[in-house]
Amino acid sequence: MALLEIKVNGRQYRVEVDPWANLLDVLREKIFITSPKAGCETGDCGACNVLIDGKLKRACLTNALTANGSEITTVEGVGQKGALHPIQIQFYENYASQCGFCTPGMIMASKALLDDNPTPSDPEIKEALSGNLCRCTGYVNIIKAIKAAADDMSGQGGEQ
Amino acid sequence: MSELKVVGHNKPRYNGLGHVTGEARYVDDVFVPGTLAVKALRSPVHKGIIKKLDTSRAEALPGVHGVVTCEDVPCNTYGYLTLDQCVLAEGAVRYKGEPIAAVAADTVEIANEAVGLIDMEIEKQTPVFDPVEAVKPGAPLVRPEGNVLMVGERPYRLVYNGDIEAGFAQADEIIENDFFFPSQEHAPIEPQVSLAVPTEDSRLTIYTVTQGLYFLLKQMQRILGQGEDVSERWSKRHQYTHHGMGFSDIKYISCDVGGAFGGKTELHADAIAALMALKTGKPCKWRWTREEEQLCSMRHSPWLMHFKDGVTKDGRIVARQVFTRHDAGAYTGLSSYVVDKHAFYVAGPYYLPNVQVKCQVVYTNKVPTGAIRGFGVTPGTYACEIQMNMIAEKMGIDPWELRFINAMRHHDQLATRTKLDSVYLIETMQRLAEIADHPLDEKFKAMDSSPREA
Amino acid sequence: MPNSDFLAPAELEQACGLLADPALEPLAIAGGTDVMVRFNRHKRRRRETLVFLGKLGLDYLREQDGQVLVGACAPLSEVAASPLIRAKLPLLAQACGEMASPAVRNAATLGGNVVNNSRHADGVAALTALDATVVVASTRGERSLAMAEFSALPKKYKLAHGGVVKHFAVAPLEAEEKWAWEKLRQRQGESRSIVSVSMRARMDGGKCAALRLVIGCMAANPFVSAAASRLMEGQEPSEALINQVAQEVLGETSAVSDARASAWYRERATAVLVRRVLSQLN
Repeated sequence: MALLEIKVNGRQYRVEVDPWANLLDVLREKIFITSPKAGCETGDCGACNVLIDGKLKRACLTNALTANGSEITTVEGVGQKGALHPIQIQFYENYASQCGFCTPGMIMASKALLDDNPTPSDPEIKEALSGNLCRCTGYVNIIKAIKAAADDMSGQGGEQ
Repeated sequence: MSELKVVGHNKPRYNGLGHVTGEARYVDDVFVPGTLAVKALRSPVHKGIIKKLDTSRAEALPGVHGVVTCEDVPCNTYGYLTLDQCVLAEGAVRYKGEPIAAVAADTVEIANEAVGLIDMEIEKQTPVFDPVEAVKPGAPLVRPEGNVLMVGERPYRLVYNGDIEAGFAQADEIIENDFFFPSQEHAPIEPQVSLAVPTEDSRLTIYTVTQGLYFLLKQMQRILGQGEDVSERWSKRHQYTHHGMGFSDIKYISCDVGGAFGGKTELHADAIAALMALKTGKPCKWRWTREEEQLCSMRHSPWLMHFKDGVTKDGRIVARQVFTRHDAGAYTGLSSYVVDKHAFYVAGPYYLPNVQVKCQVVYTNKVPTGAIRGFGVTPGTYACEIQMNMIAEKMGIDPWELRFINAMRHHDQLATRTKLDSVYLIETMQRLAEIADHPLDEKFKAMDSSPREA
Repeated sequence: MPNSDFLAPAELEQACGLLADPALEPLAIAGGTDVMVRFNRHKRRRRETLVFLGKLGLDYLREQDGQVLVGACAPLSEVAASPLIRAKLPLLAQACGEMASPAVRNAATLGGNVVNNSRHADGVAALTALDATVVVASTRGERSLAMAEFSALPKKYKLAHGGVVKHFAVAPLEAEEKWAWEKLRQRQGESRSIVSVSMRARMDGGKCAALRLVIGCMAANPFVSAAASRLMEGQEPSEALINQVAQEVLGETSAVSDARASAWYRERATAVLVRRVLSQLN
């Protein structure tokens, strides 16, 4: 076991982890942050997407100790009820989720996109979300939600 | 008329906020202190006889709290309509991936290691995968009763009306085609997962992904004790009078489900997680890997359909004969139910004075098949409508017109001889033609669904 | 009980020393996008000492002595977005930008790609086309090998003596050079290549002076087509000649059937991509 020190959604954590542990299991089972999901554990579905020091990464493929000292952001850190991020609002209002299992991963990928490129074109949105699978919605409403969030956010002068 | 508050308004998903905030709780998001990880030993062969199963090395591994085999199951057989499926394989295995034993340990890693320590010898036998081969004489037997499910005296479900041979005799053209609808795996992003928690008074709480709580509750109740053939071996081994678990002893909690599409209508992880919880006295969680989900979970069956239609020069289908083979995989599951549903609808919404439908359930050494959206009907509709288009092409008739000519009307009968009160297919097609800007001949615009003259 | 550990050396020499010590059962990990897949697919308590390469500073992208140096631990997304790589090695920028998916590209590295012995490795194909030199550090010092040479080595020799791929040294593309990268896959993202065809070529007065045409995913390693060089060098790239090359390339290898494509399909797809790539010589 080794000591892992990470900041998650602004809060500092110190946990003992196995050297081989992946960040997804650590977040879910040691810190009980359950929004990143285990859909495949091979980096293919995108349900485990998190931001590590602002970069979109697969928590399931991140060896936890390689992220020692990093700042992790999950959906819980993007916004909460009563203070939702525009991406969350637009996903909600545009029916961009059905079962909701892919949604946290989609939101993290959307956040990474809009942080980097506040006015993405349709092809840019599709490229940014190309690592996220959804079996329910057919993606149309998800893309619609991201466009609406981008409009929303640039209307606020890109403050969010 | 008071103002409608829901109908006609956009209403947000009732659990949509939970989806976007991460608050939605799926089974794997439920944590109970002291939960053990469950892993299963699955058959590496498609068909075989278990010659040896020794779990002692697994049980001795530090961190393992319990191992179960078929000996530990109060009632090892279950199913929807036919009680032929084993919770844990007993003597024989019928498909690759069939669970044979399960382990509960402190961590997933230890559970995996323990599964590797189970000493098992299986005598491989020759499997059969193709339903067309499986029905031939001399084919390897998937089950002792034979590879076809009998419906009374017949090896198929039969639904008919009129006289099919007389119908063919009246036809000017016979049009025959084969259709294949391939197997589909539901592949929800959330795999099968189950958390079983023993609670006070020897009761059990199970967090489940199932779409059919009451279907499975009945099966669980049978498996865990009050089945008609509670295993004598099990009772003796446990040295106490087992009253069995009834409905009131099992609390089934459905969490948010991460996609199912029909694929979460089987016991999958629940029964074994429950057994492990009862065996160890501790909460037990079994989360399937993506590989297990793709390779071992129930999938939608393949369908092979043969249409033979007798059609007159003026485009009337006077005889329709359908033969369907449905591949159940290794166990019956919902197959007997779905071939009935298929049989009732496959001939299509058309007036067929002579119709004969035979639907056969065939067993093969593959993962058992089951429900998916449109269960039984979608494959039939696909075949029927392509057949209609092929008839239109062969006869030189417009495909729309062919359908108007043959459309059911009020009081027509389905192949099951059920008389339909009101149909309105003709009016629906007229409206569709309007929306699609498809020109229709006046005589079809003038049609309606008034009952046919006697 | 297994004796696993996680070490994050700050010096390359130290990392090589750790990786050369068999008693540790050392396993190098950088982005983790290959190592962690293996770990996750069958979770068990592990004995290896993980040697994390992320603190060695091997993520540089710079020019030095007329060569572009691509650090082996630079994430693919950085290679793809780097103004330097886009300007001087556009083939590599495009190839890296099309691998895997956005999140995986933020972690995956070219170093990992070239040591994994995968038939599908796009990084290997692109670096082979560019005629990159692989610089490997070990307890015995540094050595340089051509990319094609490195990938042909048996696995145990690739990183002998605690080897760590340091960087790839590539001559930057010059004005008279042409390049192309084409690959076929089942989906736009997250899909291993079915076949890739890439080239680096030098033109001289309308004729092809030098050509490296690399075919990926057909054989065990991406290979440089000898037929293409033999037929095209010194010639004008006419349609007839390009068609001939497309046919002869198929004779240099036997296609593989796998989950993504049959050999039959691969052969036909390769011929199409070869024509597409060579057409860009005009």
